[in-house]
Amino acid sequence: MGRHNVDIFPQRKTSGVEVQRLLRVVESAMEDNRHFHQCPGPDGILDLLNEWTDYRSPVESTGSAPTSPGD
Amino acid sequence: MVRALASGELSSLAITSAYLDLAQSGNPEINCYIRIESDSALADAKRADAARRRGKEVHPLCGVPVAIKDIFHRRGIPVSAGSGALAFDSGHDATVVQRLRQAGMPILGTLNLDEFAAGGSGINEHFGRCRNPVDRHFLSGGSSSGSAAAVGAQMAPLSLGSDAGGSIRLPAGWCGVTGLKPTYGRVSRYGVIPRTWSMDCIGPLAGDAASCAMLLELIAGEDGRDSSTLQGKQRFTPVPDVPDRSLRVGVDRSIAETIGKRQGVALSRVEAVFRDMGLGIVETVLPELEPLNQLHQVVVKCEGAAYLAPLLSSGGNKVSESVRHVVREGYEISAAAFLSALRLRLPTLRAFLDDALGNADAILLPLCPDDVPSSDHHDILGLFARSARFTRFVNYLGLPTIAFPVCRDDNGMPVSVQLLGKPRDEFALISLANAFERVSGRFRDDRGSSASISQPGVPAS
Repeated sequence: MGRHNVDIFPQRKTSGVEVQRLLRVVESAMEDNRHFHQCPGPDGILDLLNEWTDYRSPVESTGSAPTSPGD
Repeated sequence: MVRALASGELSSLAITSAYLDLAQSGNPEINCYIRIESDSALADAKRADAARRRGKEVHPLCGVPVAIKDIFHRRGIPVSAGSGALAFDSGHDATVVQRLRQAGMPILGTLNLDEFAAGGSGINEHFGRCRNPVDRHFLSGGSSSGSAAAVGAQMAPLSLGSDAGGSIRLPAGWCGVTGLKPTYGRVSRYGVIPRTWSMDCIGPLAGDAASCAMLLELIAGEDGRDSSTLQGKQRFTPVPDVPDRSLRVGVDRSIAETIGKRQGVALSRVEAVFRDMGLGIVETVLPELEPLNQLHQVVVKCEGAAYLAPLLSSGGNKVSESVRHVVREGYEISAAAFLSALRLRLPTLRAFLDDALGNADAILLPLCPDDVPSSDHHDILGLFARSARFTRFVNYLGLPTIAFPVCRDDNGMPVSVQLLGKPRDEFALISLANAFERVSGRFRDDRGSSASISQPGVPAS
Protein backbone atom coordinates (compact mmCIF):
# COMPACT_ATOMS: atom_id res chain seq x y z
CA MET A 1 0.00 0.00 0.00
CA GLY A 2 2.95 2.27 0.60
CA ARG A 3 3.51 3.22 -2.99
CA HIS A 4 0.03 4.71 -3.15
CA ASN A 5 0.28 6.74 0.01
CA VAL A 6 0.84 10.09 -1.62
CA ASP A 7 -1.72 9.54 -4.33
CA ILE A 8 -4.54 7.86 -2.50
CA PHE A 9 -4.32 8.94 1.12
CA PRO A 10 -3.52 12.65 1.26
CA GLN A 11 -3.18 13.88 4.81
CA ARG A 12 -6.10 16.24 4.46
CA LYS A 13 -8.59 16.53 7.27
CA THR A 14 -10.67 19.38 5.95
CA SER A 15 -13.89 17.40 5.83
CA GLY A 16 -13.43 16.33 9.44
CA VAL A 17 -14.61 19.70 10.73
CA GLU A 18 -17.87 19.47 8.82
CA VAL A 19 -18.39 15.86 9.88
CA GLN A 20 -17.92 16.81 13.53
CA ARG A 21 -20.36 19.69 13.19
CA LEU A 22 -23.05 17.43 11.75
CA LEU A 23 -22.41 14.77 14.36
CA ARG A 24 -22.99 17.37 17.04
CA VAL A 25 -26.29 18.39 15.43
CA VAL A 26 -27.60 14.86 15.88
CA GLU A 27 -25.92 14.30 19.24
CA SER A 28 -27.45 17.43 20.70
CA ALA A 29 -30.88 16.23 19.61
CA MET A 30 -30.19 13.00 21.49
CA GLU A 31 -29.24 14.48 24.82
CA ASP A 32 -32.46 13.35 26.46
CA ASN A 33 -32.56 9.98 24.72
CA ARG A 34 -31.79 7.22 27.19
CA HIS A 35 -30.44 5.00 24.45
CA PHE A 36 -27.76 7.56 23.72
CA HIS A 37 -26.50 7.35 27.29
CA GLN A 38 -25.73 3.67 27.38
CA CYS A 39 -23.29 1.24 25.80
CA PRO A 40 -24.36 0.40 22.26
CA GLY A 41 -25.04 -3.19 21.32
CA PRO A 42 -22.59 -5.03 19.12
CA ASP A 43 -24.68 -4.76 15.99
CA GLY A 44 -26.32 -1.36 16.15
CA ILE A 45 -29.90 -1.44 15.01
CA LEU A 46 -30.27 -5.15 14.37
CA ASP A 47 -31.77 -6.01 17.76
CA LEU A 48 -34.50 -3.44 17.29
CA LEU A 49 -35.25 -4.63 13.75
CA ASN A 50 -35.44 -8.22 14.96
CA GLU A 51 -37.71 -7.46 17.88
CA TRP A 52 -40.08 -5.20 15.95
CA THR A 53 -43.56 -6.75 15.68
CA ASP A 54 -45.68 -3.89 14.34
CA TYR A 55 -45.85 -5.07 10.75
CA ARG A 56 -48.46 -6.50 8.39
CA SER A 57 -48.47 -9.80 6.60
CA PRO A 58 -50.72 -11.39 3.97
CA VAL A 59 -52.60 -13.60 6.39
CA GLU A 60 -53.48 -10.62 8.56
CA SER A 61 -54.88 -8.62 5.67
CA THR A 62 -58.62 -8.23 5.49
CA GLY A 63 -61.30 -6.92 3.25
CA SER A 64 -60.11 -7.73 -0.24
CA ALA A 65 -59.38 -10.51 -2.62
CA PRO A 66 -55.73 -11.22 -3.19
CA THR A 67 -53.91 -10.57 -6.41
CA SER A 68 -53.25 -13.86 -8.10
CA PRO A 69 -50.26 -14.35 -10.33
CA GLY A 70 -51.49 -14.32 -13.89
CA ASP A 71 -54.26 -11.76 -13.43
CA MET B 1 -46.35 -15.52 -16.99
CA VAL B 2 -46.40 -17.28 -13.64
CA ARG B 3 -49.85 -18.70 -14.24
CA ALA B 4 -49.03 -19.66 -17.84
CA LEU B 5 -46.00 -21.58 -16.63
CA ALA B 6 -48.04 -23.33 -13.96
CA SER B 7 -50.74 -24.36 -16.44
CA GLY B 8 -48.26 -25.50 -19.08
CA GLU B 9 -49.51 -22.89 -21.54
CA LEU B 10 -45.98 -21.52 -21.78
CA SER B 11 -42.65 -23.19 -21.24
CA SER B 12 -39.70 -21.69 -19.46
CA LEU B 13 -37.68 -22.42 -22.57
CA ALA B 14 -39.99 -20.22 -24.68
CA ILE B 15 -39.99 -17.41 -22.12
CA THR B 16 -36.26 -17.55 -21.49
CA SER B 17 -35.50 -17.68 -25.21
CA ALA B 18 -37.67 -14.62 -25.83
CA TYR B 19 -35.88 -12.63 -23.15
CA LEU B 20 -32.48 -13.77 -24.37
CA ASP B 21 -33.38 -12.67 -27.90
CA LEU B 22 -34.39 -9.26 -26.61
CA ALA B 23 -31.25 -9.02 -24.51
CA GLN B 24 -29.01 -9.96 -27.43
CA SER B 25 -30.64 -7.51 -29.80
CA GLY B 26 -31.07 -4.64 -27.33
CA ASN B 27 -27.90 -4.80 -25.30
CA PRO B 28 -25.62 -3.10 -27.83
CA GLU B 29 -27.75 0.00 -27.41
CA ILE B 30 -28.70 -0.12 -23.70
CA ASN B 31 -25.58 -1.90 -22.38
CA CYS B 32 -27.34 -3.15 -19.27
CA TYR B 33 -25.72 -6.60 -19.42
CA ILE B 34 -22.05 -7.17 -18.74
CA ARG B 35 -22.53 -10.77 -19.81
CA ILE B 36 -25.52 -12.54 -21.35
CA GLU B 37 -25.41 -16.19 -20.35
CA SER B 38 -27.51 -17.82 -23.04
CA ASP B 39 -26.26 -21.41 -22.78
CA SER B 40 -26.63 -21.78 -19.04
CA ALA B 41 -29.94 -19.89 -19.00
CA LEU B 42 -31.43 -22.19 -21.64
CA ALA B 43 -30.15 -25.23 -19.75
CA ASP B 44 -31.74 -23.88 -16.56
CA ALA B 45 -35.00 -23.33 -18.47
CA LYS B 46 -35.02 -26.91 -19.77
CA ARG B 47 -34.47 -28.22 -16.25
CA ALA B 48 -37.35 -26.06 -14.98
CA ASP B 49 -39.66 -27.37 -17.70
CA ALA B 50 -38.61 -30.93 -16.94
CA ALA B 51 -39.35 -30.44 -13.24
CA ARG B 52 -42.83 -29.17 -14.04
CA ARG B 53 -43.45 -32.00 -16.53
CA ARG B 54 -42.56 -34.56 -13.89
CA GLY B 55 -45.39 -33.16 -11.83
CA LYS B 56 -42.97 -32.23 -9.14
CA GLU B 57 -44.14 -29.55 -6.75
CA VAL B 58 -42.15 -26.50 -7.76
CA HIS B 59 -41.78 -22.92 -6.63
CA PRO B 60 -44.18 -20.52 -8.39
CA LEU B 61 -41.17 -18.74 -9.89
CA CYS B 62 -39.76 -21.98 -11.32
CA GLY B 63 -38.85 -21.22 -14.92
CA VAL B 64 -39.19 -17.43 -14.61
CA PRO B 65 -35.91 -15.91 -15.77
CA VAL B 66 -34.01 -13.34 -13.75
CA ALA B 67 -30.88 -11.24 -14.24
CA ILE B 68 -28.50 -10.23 -11.47
CA LYS B 69 -26.19 -7.34 -10.69
CA ASP B 70 -22.55 -8.33 -11.02
CA ILE B 71 -21.84 -8.36 -7.29
CA PHE B 72 -22.89 -11.91 -6.41
CA HIS B 73 -20.45 -14.77 -5.99
CA ARG B 74 -21.22 -17.60 -8.36
CA ARG B 75 -19.52 -20.92 -8.62
CA GLY B 76 -17.33 -20.98 -11.72
CA ILE B 77 -18.23 -17.46 -12.84
CA PRO B 78 -15.95 -14.59 -11.82
CA VAL B 79 -17.60 -11.58 -10.22
CA SER B 80 -16.27 -8.17 -11.29
CA ALA B 81 -18.39 -5.68 -9.31
CA GLY B 82 -18.13 -3.63 -12.47
CA SER B 83 -14.40 -3.11 -11.97
CA GLY B 84 -11.38 -3.79 -14.08
CA ALA B 85 -9.51 -4.67 -10.89
CA LEU B 86 -11.61 -7.67 -9.91
CA ALA B 87 -12.39 -11.00 -11.57
CA PHE B 88 -12.96 -13.18 -8.54
CA ASP B 89 -14.23 -16.75 -8.65
CA SER B 90 -15.10 -17.62 -5.08
CA GLY B 91 -15.99 -21.21 -5.98
CA HIS B 92 -19.42 -20.95 -4.37
CA ASP B 93 -22.80 -19.33 -4.89
CA ALA B 94 -24.06 -16.41 -2.81
CA THR B 95 -27.06 -17.35 -0.69
CA VAL B 96 -29.45 -15.42 -2.93
CA VAL B 97 -28.06 -17.13 -6.01
CA GLN B 98 -28.57 -20.48 -4.28
CA ARG B 99 -32.18 -19.54 -3.61
CA LEU B 100 -32.74 -18.55 -7.25
CA ARG B 101 -31.27 -21.86 -8.38
CA GLN B 102 -33.24 -23.90 -5.87
CA ALA B 103 -36.44 -22.28 -7.14
CA GLY B 104 -35.49 -23.17 -10.71
CA MET B 105 -35.08 -19.62 -12.04
CA PRO B 106 -32.89 -19.35 -15.14
CA ILE B 107 -30.24 -16.65 -14.77
CA LEU B 108 -30.13 -14.60 -17.97
CA GLY B 109 -26.84 -12.92 -17.20
CA THR B 110 -24.92 -10.45 -15.08
CA LEU B 111 -25.80 -6.78 -15.11
CA ASN B 112 -23.84 -3.58 -15.41
CA LEU B 113 -23.37 -1.23 -12.45
CA ASP B 114 -21.35 1.71 -11.23
CA GLU B 115 -17.91 0.36 -10.36
CA PHE B 116 -18.01 -1.36 -6.95
CA ALA B 117 -21.55 0.00 -6.60
CA ALA B 118 -19.91 3.29 -5.65
CA GLY B 119 -21.90 5.77 -7.70
CA GLY B 120 -25.31 6.70 -8.92
CA SER B 121 -25.05 7.53 -12.60
CA GLY B 122 -24.84 4.25 -14.48
CA ILE B 123 -21.52 5.36 -15.96
CA ASN B 124 -18.87 2.65 -15.87
CA GLU B 125 -15.53 3.26 -17.51
CA HIS B 126 -14.68 -0.45 -17.71
CA PHE B 127 -17.94 -1.84 -19.10
CA GLY B 128 -19.40 1.30 -20.63
CA ARG B 129 -22.33 3.49 -19.82
CA CYS B 130 -25.68 1.82 -19.11
CA ARG B 131 -28.29 3.85 -20.97
CA ASN B 132 -31.80 4.67 -19.85
CA PRO B 133 -34.27 2.53 -21.83
CA VAL B 134 -36.97 5.21 -21.68
CA ASP B 135 -34.68 7.66 -23.52
CA ARG B 136 -30.99 6.97 -24.20
CA HIS B 137 -30.14 10.63 -23.72
CA PHE B 138 -30.84 10.46 -19.99
CA LEU B 139 -28.92 8.79 -17.17
CA SER B 140 -30.07 5.37 -16.04
CA GLY B 141 -29.07 6.05 -12.44
CA GLY B 142 -27.11 3.66 -10.30
CA SER B 143 -25.53 1.83 -8.91
CA SER B 144 -27.97 -0.92 -9.98
CA SER B 145 -28.14 0.63 -13.42
CA GLY B 146 -28.25 -2.61 -15.39
CA SER B 147 -30.81 -4.10 -13.01
CA ALA B 148 -33.23 -1.25 -13.67
CA ALA B 149 -32.50 -0.81 -17.38
CA ALA B 150 -32.84 -4.53 -18.12
CA VAL B 151 -36.33 -4.64 -16.63
CA GLY B 152 -37.30 -1.32 -18.19
CA ALA B 153 -36.10 -2.48 -21.62
CA GLN B 154 -37.84 -5.85 -21.27
CA MET B 155 -34.52 -7.65 -21.35
CA ALA B 156 -35.43 -9.36 -18.07
CA PRO B 157 -38.73 -9.72 -16.25
CA LEU B 158 -37.05 -9.56 -12.86
CA SER B 159 -33.67 -8.51 -11.55
CA LEU B 160 -31.67 -8.26 -8.37
CA GLY B 161 -29.87 -5.14 -7.26
CA SER B 162 -28.32 -3.77 -4.13
CA ASP B 163 -28.99 -0.55 -2.27
CA ALA B 164 -26.58 1.20 0.07
CA GLY B 165 -27.99 4.71 -0.31
CA GLY B 166 -30.54 4.58 -3.13
CA SER B 167 -28.88 2.20 -5.57
CA ILE B 168 -32.00 0.14 -6.22
CA ARG B 169 -34.56 2.91 -5.90
CA LEU B 170 -32.99 5.71 -7.96
CA PRO B 171 -32.27 3.68 -11.11
CA ALA B 172 -35.64 1.94 -10.78
CA GLY B 173 -37.38 5.29 -10.61
CA TRP B 174 -35.36 6.83 -13.44
CA CYS B 175 -35.91 3.81 -15.71
CA GLY B 176 -39.63 3.59 -14.94
CA VAL B 177 -39.73 0.34 -12.97
CA THR B 178 -40.46 -0.66 -9.39
CA GLY B 179 -37.62 -1.26 -6.93
CA LEU B 180 -37.75 -2.45 -3.34
CA LYS B 181 -35.09 -1.81 -0.73
CA PRO B 182 -35.96 -4.18 2.11
CA THR B 183 -35.38 -3.75 5.81
CA TYR B 184 -31.70 -4.04 6.71
CA GLY B 185 -31.00 -7.72 7.35
CA ARG B 186 -33.99 -8.97 5.38
CA VAL B 187 -31.88 -10.58 2.63
CA SER B 188 -28.59 -12.38 3.18
CA ARG B 189 -25.42 -10.69 1.97
CA TYR B 190 -23.41 -13.90 2.16
CA GLY B 191 -21.40 -14.04 -1.04
CA VAL B 192 -22.08 -10.43 -2.00
CA ILE B 193 -19.35 -7.88 -2.77
CA PRO B 194 -19.68 -5.22 -0.05
CA ARG B 195 -20.22 -1.52 -0.50
CA THR B 196 -21.04 -0.70 3.13
CA TRP B 197 -21.85 -3.78 5.16
CA SER B 198 -23.65 -1.86 7.89
CA MET B 199 -26.24 -0.68 5.37
CA ASP B 200 -26.11 -2.84 2.21
CA CYS B 201 -29.45 -4.35 1.22
CA ILE B 202 -30.20 -6.79 -1.59
CA GLY B 203 -33.58 -6.33 -3.25
CA PRO B 204 -35.75 -6.94 -6.31
CA LEU B 205 -36.59 -4.77 -9.31
CA ALA B 206 -39.55 -5.60 -11.52
CA GLY B 207 -42.34 -4.18 -13.61
CA ASP B 208 -44.61 -3.88 -10.59
CA ALA B 209 -44.82 -4.24 -6.84
CA ALA B 210 -46.49 -7.67 -6.90
CA SER B 211 -43.62 -9.08 -8.93
CA CYS B 212 -41.14 -7.56 -6.47
CA ALA B 213 -43.06 -9.26 -3.67
CA MET B 214 -42.70 -12.68 -5.22
CA LEU B 215 -38.96 -12.34 -5.72
CA LEU B 216 -38.43 -10.83 -2.27
CA GLU B 217 -40.31 -13.71 -0.67
CA LEU B 218 -37.96 -16.14 -2.37
CA ILE B 219 -34.67 -14.46 -1.49
CA ALA B 220 -35.53 -13.16 1.99
CA GLY B 221 -35.02 -14.96 5.25
CA GLU B 222 -32.58 -16.00 7.89
CA ASP B 223 -29.23 -17.30 6.74
CA GLY B 224 -26.85 -19.05 9.09
CA ARG B 225 -23.98 -17.78 6.97
CA ASP B 226 -24.92 -14.11 7.50
CA SER B 227 -25.39 -13.23 11.16
CA SER B 228 -26.98 -9.90 10.22
CA THR B 229 -30.06 -11.51 8.65
CA LEU B 230 -33.35 -10.98 10.45
CA GLN B 231 -34.74 -13.98 12.26
CA GLY B 232 -37.69 -15.92 10.93
CA LYS B 233 -39.36 -16.00 7.55
CA GLN B 234 -42.16 -13.62 6.52
CA ARG B 235 -44.56 -13.87 3.62
CA PHE B 236 -45.16 -11.03 1.18
CA THR B 237 -47.70 -12.74 -1.09
CA PRO B 238 -50.46 -12.88 -2.04
CA VAL B 239 -50.69 -9.14 -2.48
CA PRO B 240 -54.23 -7.81 -2.02
CA ASP B 241 -55.84 -5.79 -4.81
CA VAL B 242 -56.94 -3.27 -2.22
CA PRO B 243 -54.74 -2.55 0.79
CA ASP B 244 -55.85 -2.85 4.36
CA ARG B 245 -57.96 0.29 4.89
CA SER B 246 -56.55 0.80 8.35
CA LEU B 247 -53.20 1.76 6.83
CA ARG B 248 -52.23 5.37 7.45
CA VAL B 249 -49.97 7.18 5.02
CA GLY B 250 -47.92 10.06 6.36
CA VAL B 251 -47.12 13.18 4.34
CA ASP B 252 -44.76 16.01 5.24
CA ARG B 253 -46.16 19.14 3.56
CA SER B 254 -42.91 21.07 3.94
CA ILE B 255 -41.17 18.80 1.43
CA ALA B 256 -43.08 20.30 -1.50
CA GLU B 257 -41.09 23.53 -1.16
CA THR B 258 -37.81 21.70 -1.73
CA ILE B 259 -38.59 19.66 -4.84
CA GLY B 260 -39.44 20.19 -8.50
CA LYS B 261 -42.92 20.88 -9.78
CA ARG B 262 -43.46 17.46 -11.35
CA GLN B 263 -42.20 15.73 -8.21
CA GLY B 264 -44.81 17.62 -6.23
CA VAL B 265 -47.48 16.60 -8.73
CA ALA B 266 -46.45 12.96 -8.36
CA LEU B 267 -46.78 13.11 -4.57
CA SER B 268 -50.21 14.75 -4.85
CA ARG B 269 -51.38 12.14 -7.34
CA VAL B 270 -50.42 9.22 -5.11
CA GLU B 271 -51.93 10.90 -2.07
CA ALA B 272 -55.19 11.47 -3.97
CA VAL B 273 -55.37 7.82 -5.03
CA PHE B 274 -54.83 6.63 -1.47
CA ARG B 275 -57.36 9.11 -0.15
CA ASP B 276 -59.93 7.88 -2.69
CA MET B 277 -59.31 4.35 -1.45
CA GLY B 278 -60.33 5.43 2.00
CA LEU B 279 -56.85 5.23 3.49
CA GLY B 280 -55.95 7.62 6.27
CA ILE B 281 -53.68 10.47 5.20
CA VAL B 282 -51.90 11.89 8.22
CA GLU B 283 -49.58 14.83 8.60
CA THR B 284 -46.10 13.97 9.72
CA VAL B 285 -42.91 15.92 10.23
CA LEU B 286 -39.63 14.46 9.10
CA PRO B 287 -36.47 15.32 10.99
CA GLU B 288 -33.87 17.43 9.22
CA LEU B 289 -32.51 15.00 6.65
CA GLU B 290 -29.12 16.51 5.90
CA PRO B 291 -27.46 15.47 9.19
CA LEU B 292 -28.81 11.93 8.77
CA ASN B 293 -27.58 11.84 5.19
CA GLN B 294 -24.16 12.97 6.38
CA LEU B 295 -24.07 10.27 9.06
CA HIS B 296 -24.85 7.83 6.28
CA GLN B 297 -21.95 9.23 4.31
CA VAL B 298 -19.55 8.82 7.21
CA VAL B 299 -20.40 5.12 7.43
CA VAL B 300 -20.45 4.45 3.70
CA LYS B 301 -17.17 6.24 3.06
CA CYS B 302 -15.28 4.57 5.90
CA GLU B 303 -16.53 1.07 5.17
CA GLY B 304 -16.05 1.60 1.44
CA ALA B 305 -12.48 2.72 1.97
CA ALA B 306 -11.75 -0.21 4.25
CA TYR B 307 -12.86 -2.69 1.59
CA LEU B 308 -11.51 -0.93 -1.46
CA ALA B 309 -8.11 0.33 -0.28
CA PRO B 310 -6.41 -3.10 -0.54
CA LEU B 311 -7.80 -3.46 -4.07
CA LEU B 312 -6.21 -0.17 -5.04
CA SER B 313 -2.88 -1.54 -3.89
CA SER B 314 -3.16 -4.67 -5.98
CA GLY B 315 -4.92 -3.25 -9.02
CA GLY B 316 -4.81 0.50 -8.58
CA ASN B 317 -4.36 1.34 -12.22
CA LYS B 318 -7.52 -0.61 -13.08
CA VAL B 319 -9.72 1.31 -10.67
CA SER B 320 -11.50 4.45 -11.86
CA GLU B 321 -10.84 7.85 -10.39
CA SER B 322 -14.33 7.94 -8.89
CA VAL B 323 -13.55 4.85 -6.79
CA ARG B 324 -10.18 6.26 -5.78
CA HIS B 325 -12.07 9.35 -4.66
CA VAL B 326 -14.28 7.17 -2.43
CA VAL B 327 -11.20 5.71 -0.75
CA ARG B 328 -9.61 9.11 -0.25
CA GLU B 329 -12.75 10.46 1.37
CA GLY B 330 -12.98 7.50 3.71
CA TYR B 331 -9.45 7.99 4.92
CA GLU B 332 -10.17 11.63 5.69
CA ILE B 333 -12.76 10.72 8.32
CA SER B 334 -11.59 10.01 11.85
CA ALA B 335 -12.23 6.70 13.56
CA ALA B 336 -14.09 8.56 16.31
CA ALA B 337 -16.48 10.09 13.78
CA PHE B 338 -17.12 6.69 12.21
CA LEU B 339 -17.87 5.10 15.57
CA SER B 340 -20.08 8.02 16.56
CA ALA B 341 -22.06 7.63 13.34
CA LEU B 342 -22.61 3.95 14.11
CA ARG B 343 -23.46 4.63 17.75
CA LEU B 344 -26.00 7.31 16.86
CA ARG B 345 -27.84 4.95 14.57
CA LEU B 346 -30.02 3.19 17.14
CA PRO B 347 -31.19 6.28 19.05
CA THR B 348 -31.82 8.05 15.74
CA LEU B 349 -33.90 5.15 14.48
CA ARG B 350 -35.90 5.03 17.71
CA ALA B 351 -36.57 8.76 17.50
CA PHE B 352 -37.63 8.46 13.85
CA LEU B 353 -40.03 5.62 14.65
CA ASP B 354 -41.52 7.56 17.55
CA ASP B 355 -41.84 10.88 15.76
CA ALA B 356 -42.02 10.58 11.97
CA LEU B 357 -43.65 7.13 11.96
CA GLY B 358 -45.45 7.51 15.26
CA ASN B 359 -48.91 7.92 13.74
CA ALA B 360 -48.29 6.53 10.24
CA ASP B 361 -47.66 3.10 8.77
CA ALA B 362 -45.82 4.50 5.78
CA ILE B 363 -44.47 7.88 4.68
CA LEU B 364 -44.90 9.14 1.13
CA LEU B 365 -41.67 10.74 -0.12
CA PRO B 366 -40.22 11.98 -3.37
CA LEU B 367 -37.66 9.65 -4.86
CA CYS B 368 -35.51 12.41 -6.24
CA PRO B 369 -35.95 16.18 -5.90
CA ASP B 370 -35.48 16.81 -9.63
CA ASP B 371 -36.24 15.39 -13.06
CA VAL B 372 -34.15 12.54 -14.47
CA PRO B 373 -30.81 14.14 -15.46
CA SER B 374 -29.57 14.12 -19.03
CA SER B 375 -26.59 11.95 -19.89
CA ASP B 376 -24.34 14.97 -20.51
CA HIS B 377 -24.70 16.28 -16.96
CA HIS B 378 -21.43 17.96 -16.07
CA ASP B 379 -21.19 17.32 -12.31
CA ILE B 380 -21.87 13.65 -11.64
CA LEU B 381 -20.63 13.66 -8.03
CA GLY B 382 -22.66 16.72 -7.11
CA LEU B 383 -25.62 15.35 -8.97
CA PHE B 384 -25.71 12.14 -6.96
CA ALA B 385 -25.44 13.95 -3.64
CA ARG B 386 -28.53 15.96 -4.53
CA SER B 387 -30.41 13.09 -6.17
CA ALA B 388 -29.92 10.89 -3.10
CA ARG B 389 -31.27 13.46 -0.64
CA PHE B 390 -34.37 11.35 0.04
CA THR B 391 -32.71 7.94 -0.19
CA ARG B 392 -29.48 7.92 1.83
CA PHE B 393 -30.95 8.50 5.28
CA VAL B 394 -33.23 5.49 4.78
CA ASN B 395 -30.24 3.14 4.68
CA TYR B 396 -28.81 4.77 7.78
CA LEU B 397 -32.08 3.96 9.56
CA GLY B 398 -32.32 0.47 8.05
CA LEU B 399 -35.96 0.92 7.06
CA PRO B 400 -37.75 -0.62 4.05
CA THR B 401 -38.74 1.54 1.08
CA ILE B 402 -40.37 0.92 -2.27
CA ALA B 403 -39.93 3.23 -5.29
CA PHE B 404 -42.33 3.28 -8.23
CA PRO B 405 -43.10 5.54 -11.21
CA VAL B 406 -46.13 7.79 -11.11
CA CYS B 407 -46.09 10.20 -14.06
CA ARG B 408 -43.76 11.82 -16.55
CA ASP B 409 -41.70 15.00 -16.53
CA ASP B 410 -41.61 17.48 -19.39
CA ASN B 411 -39.04 15.32 -21.17
CA GLY B 412 -41.28 12.27 -21.00
CA MET B 413 -39.10 10.67 -18.36
CA PRO B 414 -40.57 8.92 -15.32
CA VAL B 415 -41.23 10.77 -12.10
CA SER B 416 -41.23 8.36 -9.19
CA VAL B 417 -42.03 8.39 -5.50
CA GLN B 418 -41.07 6.32 -2.48
CA LEU B 419 -43.03 4.79 0.35
CA LEU B 420 -40.98 4.39 3.52
CA GLY B 421 -42.20 1.92 6.13
CA LYS B 422 -41.61 0.50 9.57
CA PRO B 423 -39.11 -2.29 10.23
CA ARG B 424 -40.08 -5.60 8.60
CA ASP B 425 -43.21 -4.01 7.12
CA GLU B 426 -42.40 -4.48 3.45
CA PHE B 427 -45.82 -6.02 2.97
CA ALA B 428 -47.58 -2.76 3.79
CA LEU B 429 -45.42 -0.92 1.26
CA ILE B 430 -45.97 -3.58 -1.40
CA SER B 431 -49.73 -3.48 -0.79
CA LEU B 432 -49.83 0.31 -1.13
CA ALA B 433 -47.66 0.44 -4.26
CA ASN B 434 -49.62 -2.41 -5.83
CA ALA B 435 -52.89 -0.63 -5.11
CA PHE B 436 -51.63 2.54 -6.77
CA GLU B 437 -50.36 0.59 -9.78
CA ARG B 438 -53.71 -1.15 -10.21
CA VAL B 439 -55.63 2.11 -10.14
CA SER B 440 -53.17 4.21 -12.11
CA GLY B 441 -50.85 1.98 -14.09
CA ARG B 442 -50.69 4.53 -16.90
CA PHE B 443 -46.94 4.86 -17.05
CA ARG B 444 -46.41 1.30 -18.17
CA ASP B 445 -49.49 1.15 -20.38
CA ASP B 446 -48.50 4.29 -22.27
CA ARG B 447 -44.98 3.14 -22.77
CA GLY B 448 -45.92 -0.44 -23.54
CA SER B 449 -42.86 -1.86 -21.87
CA SER B 450 -41.59 -2.97 -18.48
CA ALA B 451 -42.53 -6.55 -17.90
CA SER B 452 -44.74 -7.83 -15.16
CA ILE B 453 -44.61 -11.49 -14.30
CA SER B 454 -48.22 -11.15 -13.22
CA GLN B 455 -49.19 -10.47 -16.83
CA PRO B 456 -49.72 -13.24 -19.33
CA GLY B 457 -47.48 -13.96 -22.27
CA VAL B 458 -43.90 -13.27 -23.22
CA PRO B 459 -42.40 -10.06 -24.56
CA ALA B 460 -42.57 -9.55 -28.30
CA SER B 461 -39.17 -9.72 -29.95
